[in-house]
Amino acid sequence: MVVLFLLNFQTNSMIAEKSIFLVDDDPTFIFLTKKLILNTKIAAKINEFSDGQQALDFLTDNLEAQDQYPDLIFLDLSMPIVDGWDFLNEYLLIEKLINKKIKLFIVSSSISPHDIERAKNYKIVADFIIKPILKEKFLEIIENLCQDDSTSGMA
Amino acid sequence: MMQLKRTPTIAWKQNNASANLFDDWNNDDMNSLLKLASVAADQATAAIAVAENGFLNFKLAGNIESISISDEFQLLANKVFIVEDLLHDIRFAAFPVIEISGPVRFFFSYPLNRGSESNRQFHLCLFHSEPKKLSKSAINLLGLVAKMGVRLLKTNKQNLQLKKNEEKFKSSKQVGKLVAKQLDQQKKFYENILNKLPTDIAVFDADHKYLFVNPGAISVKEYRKYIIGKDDYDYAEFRQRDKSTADYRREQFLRVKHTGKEIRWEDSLKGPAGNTITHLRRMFPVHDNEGKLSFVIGFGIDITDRKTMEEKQAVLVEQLSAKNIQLIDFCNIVSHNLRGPLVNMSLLVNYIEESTDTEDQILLISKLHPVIDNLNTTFNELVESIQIKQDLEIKSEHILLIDYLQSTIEGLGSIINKSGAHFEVDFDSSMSIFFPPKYLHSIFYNLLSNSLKYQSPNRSPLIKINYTKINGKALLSITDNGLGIDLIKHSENFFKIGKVFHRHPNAKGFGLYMTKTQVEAMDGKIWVESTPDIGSTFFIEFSNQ
Repeated sequence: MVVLFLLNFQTNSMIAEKSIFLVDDDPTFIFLTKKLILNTKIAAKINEFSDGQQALDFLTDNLEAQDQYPDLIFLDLSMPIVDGWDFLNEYLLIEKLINKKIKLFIVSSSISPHDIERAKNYKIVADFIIKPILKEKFLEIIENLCQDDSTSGMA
Repeated sequence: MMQLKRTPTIAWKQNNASANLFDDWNNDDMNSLLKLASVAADQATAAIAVAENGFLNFKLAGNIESISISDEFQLLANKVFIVEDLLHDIRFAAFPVIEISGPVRFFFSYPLNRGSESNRQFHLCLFHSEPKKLSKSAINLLGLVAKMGVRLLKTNKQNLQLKKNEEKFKSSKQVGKLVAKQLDQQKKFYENILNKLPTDIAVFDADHKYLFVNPGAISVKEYRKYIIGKDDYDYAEFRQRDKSTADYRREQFLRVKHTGKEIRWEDSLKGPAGNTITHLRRMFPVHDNEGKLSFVIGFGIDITDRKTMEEKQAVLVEQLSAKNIQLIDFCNIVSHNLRGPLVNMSLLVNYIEESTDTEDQILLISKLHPVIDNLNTTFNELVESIQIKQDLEIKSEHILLIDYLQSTIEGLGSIINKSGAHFEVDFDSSMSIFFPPKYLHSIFYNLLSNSLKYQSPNRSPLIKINYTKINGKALLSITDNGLGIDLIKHSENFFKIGKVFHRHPNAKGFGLYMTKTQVEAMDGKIWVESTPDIGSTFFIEFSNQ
């Protein structure tokens, strides 16, 4: 299924480049995730932020230029200054002002059920991914993203 | 021959006469009276007669037993009745023989008193075996004797009554004494219970006036006496106390009175030794059969011990839940800080294995190093913090504060030189602290390196260290002029494990967590005051100094 889709995907020049934000203070994680995305050969533009504050600053600075906004956000929980939870709370405050459809995933090495439960309280969180992001999971996310695009396009 | 002839006879007959038939008489009086009558009637036999159930009962002089005949002829009438010779009296023609302790020819009867329900009708009787004719003077004399008999009867009756009354009086007096004694014992018994009960008991009338109060409630006898019939306001005035307690109790009383229901509450008072004494108080109404309020009983039980236990328990629960939170934090940090690097390592190793390009492999291997270093540091820090929690053997010592401050500053020498930091030490070098040396060193190291790590780029670091001792406690403060922290944003997480507030390559969020753990392990407290871009002051309060 995935392979079939990939073939479609790679031959379909209509699929636009995806913009992805990686919000994580761990440079090794950033390196590995970028390598993973590169390996899938999916056209992607990747922005890196080493803490929540930097990502928030980018979003608020570009309210007038929302074409700069990502399709996907991979958000770590444990970060300096503004951690993942604080980011989510701040994000809720500016959510109304955001016109672009953004899918947000928590990507954490935490396996605490408490954190997973807590994440469910945020509607904007599409899923809670326990690190690492595996190739299959990433492709599934992209596939869903494209399906969403086509359904919303039909409507 | 005549003897053979049977003649109808009224004869002696045994009769179950009442035993007390002649009790109205004094025996001596009766004997004297009968003797007198006998003399007056020329030696005829004298007797006192009384009728009962159709029988005549006679009591003769000196005779104790009474004798009875059937009274078919109504020998006794309420008038003088004389038979001079029975044999020649037509009234007795059919029964010529009457036997009263022998055959009787002469019979005389004289009524004494008037019979009634309470009085028996007695007769003075005379009889003789020979015919007799009484002279008029003899009859008059017998009339006088009879009158005397009536008088004697009356006097005796009065005497008897008097005696009876006297006995009654005597016995009633004794019974009274006995009852009084029993009542007294009972009263003492109940009083003893009420007085010895380790509770406060007070009984109020419907107007909230004291009817009773036991020593549990008021120990001083005079005060107890005073309060009966008075209320709490009188008492407050009497004892020169303010009337807030009286106000409160009146409120409670009225609630009980108006709702008709029991109420309970707890109150705490300062005891004589300055300790707090807590009572569980109950107040309940007692109604009579018609549902009217008879009185209100109030009592209080000292529950200070229970209360103290509860408070201790609450503290323990608080400590436990704090420990639990620490444990959860710890599990999270283990899961997060250890799992993260491990995941990175395994991914990197996977890529190295898959890669065929040597240059690519070298790059991947170089990425392994920082991950391993990170893992190593995290692991060591976790081990250290576990050790603090499990270090039950750690002992406080009296040590000089300045020694540990100096050695820490020396240890941080290169960083201090690089930053050009200055220290202001504002305490006497002779001041000591009672604390584990290892912890003190660690606390100084973490707080000072924190101040240096988060120094402001706009000014060289100035760190002030202050130390004071008050009332067995010591307060250490370390003030810097560094970056400061927005406490409104971070107050909850400040000392939490893994929390980092600044972008700094070596910030891992362990230092403050460790410091807090060490301070709290020794019953101390740590808190912080901070303003962004002005600086921070860390305070540590040490107990048991």
